[in-house]
Amino acid sequence: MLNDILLGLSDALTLTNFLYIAAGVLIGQVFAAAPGVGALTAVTIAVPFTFYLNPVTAIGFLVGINKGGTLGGAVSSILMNTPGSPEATATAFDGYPMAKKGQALKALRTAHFSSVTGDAISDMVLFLVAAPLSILALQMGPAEMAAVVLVALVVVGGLVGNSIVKGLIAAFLGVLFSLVGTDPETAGGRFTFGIPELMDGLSISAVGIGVLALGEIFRQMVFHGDEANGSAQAAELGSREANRFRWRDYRSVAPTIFRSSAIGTIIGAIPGLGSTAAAFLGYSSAKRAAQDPESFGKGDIRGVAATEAANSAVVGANFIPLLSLGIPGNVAAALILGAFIIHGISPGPQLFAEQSRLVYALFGAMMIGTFCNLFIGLFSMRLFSKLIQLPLVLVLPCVVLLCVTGIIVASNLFGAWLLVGFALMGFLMRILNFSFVTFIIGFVLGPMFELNIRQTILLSDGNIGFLLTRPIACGFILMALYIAWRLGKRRKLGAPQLSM
Amino acid sequence: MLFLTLSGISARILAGAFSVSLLLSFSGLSFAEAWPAKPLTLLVGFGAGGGADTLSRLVARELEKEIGQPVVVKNVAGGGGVVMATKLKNSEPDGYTFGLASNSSFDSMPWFAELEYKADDFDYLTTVTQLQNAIVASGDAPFNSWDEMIEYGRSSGLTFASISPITRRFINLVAEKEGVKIRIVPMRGGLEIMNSLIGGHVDIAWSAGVHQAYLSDGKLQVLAALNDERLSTSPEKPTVRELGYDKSYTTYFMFSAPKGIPEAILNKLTDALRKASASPAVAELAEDRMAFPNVVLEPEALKSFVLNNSDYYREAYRK
Repeated sequence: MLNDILLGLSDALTLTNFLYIAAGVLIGQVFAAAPGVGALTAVTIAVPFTFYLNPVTAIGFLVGINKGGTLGGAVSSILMNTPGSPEATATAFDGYPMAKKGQALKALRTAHFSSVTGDAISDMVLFLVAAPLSILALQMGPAEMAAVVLVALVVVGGLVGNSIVKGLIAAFLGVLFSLVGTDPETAGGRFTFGIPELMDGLSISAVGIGVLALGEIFRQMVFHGDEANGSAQAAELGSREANRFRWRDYRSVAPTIFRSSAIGTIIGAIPGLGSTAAAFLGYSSAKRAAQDPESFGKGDIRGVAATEAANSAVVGANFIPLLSLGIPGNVAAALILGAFIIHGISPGPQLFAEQSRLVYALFGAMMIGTFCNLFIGLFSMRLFSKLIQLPLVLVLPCVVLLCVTGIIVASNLFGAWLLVGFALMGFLMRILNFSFVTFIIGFVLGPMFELNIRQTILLSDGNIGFLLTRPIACGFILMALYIAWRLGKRRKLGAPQLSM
Repeated sequence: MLFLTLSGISARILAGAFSVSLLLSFSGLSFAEAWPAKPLTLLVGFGAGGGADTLSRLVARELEKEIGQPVVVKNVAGGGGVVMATKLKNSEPDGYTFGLASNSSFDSMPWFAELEYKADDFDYLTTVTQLQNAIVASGDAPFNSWDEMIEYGRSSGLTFASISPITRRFINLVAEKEGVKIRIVPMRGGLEIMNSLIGGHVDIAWSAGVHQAYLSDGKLQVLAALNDERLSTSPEKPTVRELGYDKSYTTYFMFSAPKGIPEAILNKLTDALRKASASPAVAELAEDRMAFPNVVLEPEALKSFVLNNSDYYREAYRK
């Protein structure tokens, strides 16, 4: 056992591995920092190249891209208010106001250290308790999954904004668009209009990047980015002191980081929920726990820390079901699973027993990846923070180009048209004050909720007593009710709500 | 002549390929012998990174060695191969574009969904692996054979995880014939199904071969094979035909091309593809790592297989 650990770690700690992992992290950071391109595109392109590498190097390289990507995703959210993927949406809530106050570098550093901490914590959980946690994941049947999604929906309901009606309209619109595709039960088409590209539904990248990033860019173009750039630049020159991220800042956000890391790790260990749910849950919980929730959304450092720690913690924890059950938790993990297979490794229950040396080599590679992310981030974040000084006239067209190219690479030309359509929608939602946040949440969580509820109804044969045999599901449902009650009480008291 | 060739081939082609074709057109060789004058495109009906994609990329690499031109792999995922087949149907039948998907995208899907194509819009080139279809259950299930499963189902009912209309039709047939109440639960994807079986959330499910990784430690068990013959990884388990059903579900990952490719080119492409598909590297990946038999069918056999299936599903769908 100890022998395997040492052999595995020494397999990981070679110069070749180190260079590949560092390159992966750098690629991940840069790809994810560019809105619309994303680390997922980088992983997709990189998979075929890894065929020629040895297994540890190959997986380490891909894991490096994945890790770098979780950090890079924060960059465009903070600097331009244009999240490159849904998981970084909540980063912009406080990151962008910080940038406008001239604290771009501080926001990026917060994201950097929170992301690396969240990632490191979830890696530790993976190394230490992968096996018991994977048993927990197996307990999560359709009823439990539906109940967890219900909790997530109620919790993020706190983000609905000032107008509940508009927030709900946007949320249900998100659910409506998520219905496009093939019905899971009958395989009949829903809103597909005979277009084969729509059979698998609207791609999350086209909808997400369109509404979140390109929609915001359209708004900045139309309104000349008046407040956006000018004031940020002025403030940048104004107070260098306020732009520093100090040790005492880290200490002040540490509780937030730990809470979000725990949320991200649990969500990541359950296949299928994903980092977007974790990010919003992390943000909402931090806001709820705060003494002064009204400061969130106005450039509170805890908002950035909560989101980034949560969505990064998903990355390590996603490997829990991947390694122990062979079940990928998200698309990136599915691509890495493909790389495992071509290298003759079949993840699953037998992997730890049969190839423990390889498992520990992989853990070693993940640790190197976390270290590289920390180290490279020290330089890259400073470099990225300079981007805010570029005039928007130059930046915006480049970003539009990146978004469109990214979609065409990831899907096809049809995806590019969808992107433009959803960008227009995101633009209209912004000027009409509809919450694009609840729209995205509805779009991401809607299908999960639908499928799991339908599965539960079929399994129970329509008998509600079935729920009594599922204690975990009951626990989550009670939790959702309690949170809804607390939320209603707070709203009645007139506590200020976040509007976006 | 020179100008015609120049404009016909156009500047977008690589300089190397261009000079080769120029040379050949001067030496008076026929069009077929000039093939392949430029890189080929292999459309894969599944997403990047999965088993089918991995297999396709390896075949592409072996095919490059056979024909001396690059083979570009493009993932056209969606609808379990349907989006790829639609795109393939609309591509130029010049021998430069071909695709990989399961035969069900061609023989059954056109009858279950409204699609732009039918089975006879394509030429069928060859297969690369046979899938391993089976009805599977958790190793901890309260039954250990097909008959015990039916008996258990008569008293307690069964839940079945389904991924397609075909699996749904088959299990309905079983329920009707055996007088068992089977509740069908829709799921997306083989891995989700394996997870639900192991976690005890459903009783039985259809697997196209994902289950094989879970057999060695007893997490899953095969109840019956759905292929024509017994499965190599579970040779002791009967086929559904042996169990008294007049059915079998043999499926392949196979290559096809839009109809209308000149015969000489089609033959060249098919021959090269069959050599690549039967190469040791592909065989090793398929058989040793994925546990799928590396079956490389004759084009004629594949064609009649697909068209017969298509006729069968047309009738089945009408009922």
